[in-house]
This record gives sequence, C-alpha cells and structure tokens, in this order.
Amino acid sequence: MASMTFDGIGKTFPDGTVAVANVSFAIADGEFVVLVGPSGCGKSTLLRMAAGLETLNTGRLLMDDADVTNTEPQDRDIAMVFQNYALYPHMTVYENMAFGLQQRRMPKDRIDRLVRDAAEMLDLTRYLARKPGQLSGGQRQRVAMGRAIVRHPMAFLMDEPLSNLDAKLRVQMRSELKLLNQRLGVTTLYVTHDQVEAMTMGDRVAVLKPVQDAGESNLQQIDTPQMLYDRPANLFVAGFIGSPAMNFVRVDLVEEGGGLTAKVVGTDIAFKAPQGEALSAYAGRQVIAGIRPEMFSVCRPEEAVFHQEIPVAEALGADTFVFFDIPSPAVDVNDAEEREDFSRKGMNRMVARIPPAATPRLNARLPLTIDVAALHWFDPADGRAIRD
Amino acid sequence: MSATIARSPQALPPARRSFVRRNLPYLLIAPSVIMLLALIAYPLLFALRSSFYFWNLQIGPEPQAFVGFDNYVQAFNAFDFQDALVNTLILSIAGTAIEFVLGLSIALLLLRALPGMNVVRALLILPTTIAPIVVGFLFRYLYDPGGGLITWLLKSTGLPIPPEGLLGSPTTALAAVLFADVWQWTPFFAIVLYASLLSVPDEIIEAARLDRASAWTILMRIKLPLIRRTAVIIVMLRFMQLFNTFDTVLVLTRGGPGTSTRTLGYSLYEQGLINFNIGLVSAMTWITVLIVNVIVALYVFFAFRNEEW
Repeated sequence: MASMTFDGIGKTFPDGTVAVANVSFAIADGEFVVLVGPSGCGKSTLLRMAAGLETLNTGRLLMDDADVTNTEPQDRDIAMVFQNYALYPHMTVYENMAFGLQQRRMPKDRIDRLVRDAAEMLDLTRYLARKPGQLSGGQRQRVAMGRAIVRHPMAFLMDEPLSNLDAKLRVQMRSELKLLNQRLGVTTLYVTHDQVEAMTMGDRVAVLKPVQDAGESNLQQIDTPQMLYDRPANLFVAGFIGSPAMNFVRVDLVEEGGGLTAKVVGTDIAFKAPQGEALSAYAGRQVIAGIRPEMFSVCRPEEAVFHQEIPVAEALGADTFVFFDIPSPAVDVNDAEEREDFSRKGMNRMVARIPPAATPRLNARLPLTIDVAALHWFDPADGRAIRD
Repeated sequence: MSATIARSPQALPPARRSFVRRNLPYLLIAPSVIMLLALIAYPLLFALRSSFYFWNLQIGPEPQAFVGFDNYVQAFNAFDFQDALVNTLILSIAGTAIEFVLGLSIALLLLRALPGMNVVRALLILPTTIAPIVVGFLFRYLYDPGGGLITWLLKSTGLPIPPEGLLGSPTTALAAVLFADVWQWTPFFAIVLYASLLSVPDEIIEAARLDRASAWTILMRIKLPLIRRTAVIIVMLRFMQLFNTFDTVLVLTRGGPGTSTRTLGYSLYEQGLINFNIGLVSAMTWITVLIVNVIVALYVFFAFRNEEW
C-alpha cells in the first residue's frame, strides 16, 4: 500500500507530439482513482508512466514520498492489468499467477498458498490447470486480476481492464472490482474512456483532455464523481460527465427589471437568470448556459421556456429522453471525437429527460421549463465555470 | 441444390462426372505425389536395390554381381567411416548450436531500435544468398597461410597459427570449416528468429517486467517459449542441412588433411563421383538416411512432446 504523487508530469514524444503536460495530483493510500477522458487525452500514457514503462520528460513521480521517477518497472512493486490482459499464453493459470512470486524467490509452499487464495477469491480454482487460450474473456480478465492481487503490490494500475468484455459482464465486473479494492485496500489507478465506469468505480475521478502544446494541462478536474457532476470546473468536464451529455446554449445576459435575463442567441427563448455576483459581472455579455437533461420538466404551455417539436423520443422504461432542435449556434466543447454532432447546420440539438407518461406524439410540440437555479454557466472565452 | 446442378444440360455424362467428382481430391494431389515419388521415393528405392549389388561404373554400365549386405559391411569398415561420422556429428551439432545462439543474440539486438539497424537487417541477408561453393572459395582466400585476411588478423592478435595454415593442420581444419558455415548461416537464424520475436506482444514483456522478471528470465521463460515452434523447426532444418555438408568441405579441404574434415557427404561424393562405386555409395546413402532420420525422429519426439499443435 502506498500513496502516489504526480508532480508536474509531462511527456513529449520524439516526433514532437505532446501526450501529457503539467499533470499534478496525489492519490491517497488505498484510494481508487479513475483517469477518464476521450482517446488521445494521455490517460494510458500517464498510467504507463506510473508503471515505469514510459519515461517522463518533466516532473516527478513519488510513491510514499520516495522519488521513483527513474526507477525501473521491476523495482516499483506495482501490478498492472492490461486491456488485453497480457497473460503468458504458454503458461497455465496457476503458472501465470505464480510467475511474479517466483521472481521474488518465495518458497514454493508459500507461492502455492497465495495462488490458491487468490484463485479462491476470484473463483478460478477450477481453471488453475488451464491455459489462457482455453478460457473465456471474463475468465481471462479474472486471471489478469489474480496475477495482480496475488503479489500484494503497493499499487494496482489498470488500463481499461473491462473494455474487452460484453456489456453485461462489464457491469458485473465493475462492482466486483470495486468490492475487491475495498476489501484489499490497495491504492488503485484505473484508466477508462467510459464515464459511467469512471463515475461508478472511482473514489475520485480525474478528467483529462488532449493537449496541443506543453503549456496546457491534460488534467481538467479531479474530484469525487458527485462533485464532478454537480460542480464541473469547465465546459469540457461538464460535457464529458453525464449521460446523456449536458446541453449547452449560447445566451446573451441582459439586465431587465432589476434582474438578469438570459436570451438564447438566435431565438426568442428567454429565461430569468439566477442572482449571483459572479454571473452579474457578465451582464451585457454572451455566456454559455449548461442545462442537464434532468433539469427540464414538462409544464403548461404558458409557462414553457422551450416549446419545440419533438422529432425523436427514446423510451428507456423508467425515463424517456426527448430530443429537439433550437435555431441557435451549437457550442463546441472540444471533444468532437467522442460526441457525434447530429445537429443540423445552425441548429442546436437538445435533450431532455421527462417522465414516460408525458411523452408527446411524434413531431408534436412539448412545453418544457427548466430549473433555473440548477443551471451551469460558463465563460465562452476560456470555458471556465462562472460561480460565486 | 446439388441435384439441380447435376441435371443441368452442361453437366458431363453421368459416368464421367461421378468419376471426376469421386476422385477429385486424389486428382488434385496427384501431381505432388507423382513428383515426390519420382524425385525422392524412386531414387531412394533405386539406391536401396543398388546397395545389394557390386556395381562399379568404371567396370560396366550394369550391376556386376549381387553381394547381399557386403556393401554395408564394407561401408562400416571403411578407413574413413568412423572419422566421417564423428566429424559430421561435430559439425552438425556444434554448427546448429553456435548458429542458433549467435543468431538469437543478433535477433535480440535487432529488436532494439538502435540507429542503423535497418542497414544491418538488409546486410544480414547477404551471406545466406551466396552459394556454399562461393563461400568455400571466399574462405580459402581468407584462410590463405600467405596473406589471408583471417590468418593475418589472428597473427596480429598474437594467436598461434599452424605453419601449414588453418586449413592445413588437422587441429584447426574442422574448426575452420565450421567457422565458414557459421559465417554463412548465422544470419539465417538471426532473421528467422527476429521475425518470430516480433510476434511476441509488447504487453506480455511489459507484464513480465512488472512481475519483476530479469531480462534473462524474460528471455528464457517468456520469449523463447513463445517462439519455440519456429526455433524447433529451423534447428531441425539446419541440422539436416549440416549433416549433409559437402560443398564447403570440397572447396576448402577435400576432407583433409588426412580425414580430419571428412564428412559423410564428402565420402559419398568421393565413392560415387570419383570412384564410381555405385553399390557401395548406395549402401552409404542408406546408412546416412537412417542415421539422420533416427536423430531427427528423436529430436522431434522430445521437442514436440507436450505440445498442442
């Protein structure tokens, strides 16, 4: 068990590509931290640097206050679970798990006990004599876990360990991994591109973003899942966390009758903005309002803020998501790779969560109001959240 | 479905069609089988038959007398048989082992993305493309006691050179022949092993490093087992080739001095194409074939045991 500190970590590849820049955060002993972000955001590179498989150009990496920046992977006492498991194909499950212990010159009976304990914990006892090629994907995944936990390392590093499993197994393994972490109390750094995985598993989640040059930082925000959701630091985090994603609209803030009114650009839609010092400073300027799908509620037509035709409705059983377009420019949140932009030119596609009973007929207009107090506001210049 | 096709007007008459159809697999492999029979089985059986006759082409074109196993007895008792067998075994075993180890080392070096490795890879293939006869001549000049490069290099490093030259002394001649072969065939091992090492996934090596395995352990317990199939096969191929070494010996030493570099292959050549003793050489061929096959069968048995193919 160990704490881990990333101190101003940076990595530029020889061809000049900046993979990671200015990343600093600390993981407490026993904590489960998830690195999440779209492809190319440097999350795997960060993890490989923690493992020692990738060198860093700038910054320091500490484990329990000891500088391990230049320590070889062999000497770091960490275990890694790879995306494709990287099991030794010519060894049995038993040998796969015992290999790391044999390298420590541990007595045979002790190895045997540790391997059997780990196999028991992961329900692999029946498969100990099999080779990885004879196992299913889920079983291989458990062997990879077994190989990591059998060593009782200082930290676990996991590189998208569930991404090769089918959806049902993934959900099941998610909670099993989380339970395992709580039971073993080993510091864990976990990489995923799936924000649901990040939110459900992490004690804290670090949201990363691709960087263009070494002056920026990949790290957008690191916080508990709920805080990321409730108080995203900027547009990128707000757009990345939450499913379906937050709606963004450009609004002009106008002072009217002693309060602020937000007028959605390009439309005659307007609503009262909440009172607040930070937001008041933006009076007379354009800002971006973030509306989570669940902030909408169906109302009487005369109370409606949005009153649009609904061309698409997705019924999920407990909830229904309705989609509609407003004739306002779409907001680019800089993660185009992850989110397809289905909006028509000059239109901004919005999504609202409504009770299934309120689902309108196809292409009928649905009156929707919003919980103004719960809105998020962002500065359009740098994307930072506007808060008191 | 098939019934519809069979009744179509373009189909062959029923008798012929069914013959072709029934025997199609055999017809398709027939050319290969005929080639194999003509080029391997027939000569071997012809040699087997000849080995029971006294037949010297210098006396006449037809076998002269049936002699039973006399040729075999004579082959075993020949003045050079034992030496040739021992030399052949030394050459094949030492050659294969040295070439494998050196080739593996070069392959591991090639895997490191060191500058200039592309050029090295391209140059490596060269020795393998040269005919063994040419390699023989090349090394005859290199070993020349008067001004050969190798002789000069060894002399200038202060190593003792026999006055009759490296190829002229019974103590060094076999090693010199071996060295020429190693020079020519190590790159073959290097290239094949390099290619198969490339197929070992990086993650597996990384996982082993995180498991605290040393570079040596990774080589012995991860890399080598994963390229085992390729390694087993090229070692077998190379062993069989080396067991038949003849051309390099012919050019470098003609089996001499004495019998110090005589191989089974060279003895075969001498009996067959110099003395034209077809009966005797047929018996020797069969002895060689049997020895090679026993060794290879044992090797295959031990190498492929516990292996799921």
